[in-house]
Amino acid sequence: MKTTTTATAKRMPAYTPPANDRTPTKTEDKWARLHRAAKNKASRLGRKGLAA
Amino acid sequence: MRLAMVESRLCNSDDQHALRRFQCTEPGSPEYAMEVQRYIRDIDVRETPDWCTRMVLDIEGTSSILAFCEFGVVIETTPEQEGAYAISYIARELSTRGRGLGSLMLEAALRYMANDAASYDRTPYVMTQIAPANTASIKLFSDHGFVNEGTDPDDPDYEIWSKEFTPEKTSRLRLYHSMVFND
Repeated sequence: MKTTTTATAKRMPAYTPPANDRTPTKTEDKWARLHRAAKNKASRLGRKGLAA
Repeated sequence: MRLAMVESRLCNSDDQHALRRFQCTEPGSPEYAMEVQRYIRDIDVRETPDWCTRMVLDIEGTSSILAFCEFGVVIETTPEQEGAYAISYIARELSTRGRGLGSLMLEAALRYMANDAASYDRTPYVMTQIAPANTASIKLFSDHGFVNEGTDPDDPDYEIWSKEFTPEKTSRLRLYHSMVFND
């Protein structure tokens, strides 16, 4: 396997939930579930480090 | 037989037709596999949310897509709270089963996230959801250092698998891998 140099990647935008007044797309629904799971863990740990 | 170069790159509007035909599982497969195939085939590339990064493996110089991965920053890192990346979907084309392309796809996505984490000081943590019966995905993610955190309490059909990775800034974001194909 080899790699090649490419332009620097731009900052990845963070997930934002869709507006409440419409049905979420499949993508939005999946990411809402992932967001909920990640937020549960992050809020438990604060800024102590996820490995704690 | 022919030797071809497989490359990773970001998905673009030219991939729409190939995504519509993407086959990662056989008819009659378990729902967790069929769902991924339906999802990929239903993608409208023009409607990709900006927070969603879609990457593919293709054969350099062709329109063939051999693998697909969707990932992104699922929760932002702040001074008060850790953030996280997530992988929502990953699959390889059925015809390439057993060739290691799922692993190459995952490696390319992890490299992209490691670069973002190093460049923008984000928490180097990535998670995904895997159905407990999906042994192929469990092996793939285990082989890349993901650990099982247990059942997702809000989504009990899935277990949460996660990995803390090393942030690493790189300008080498594309992976290339030579492979022999039987035409």
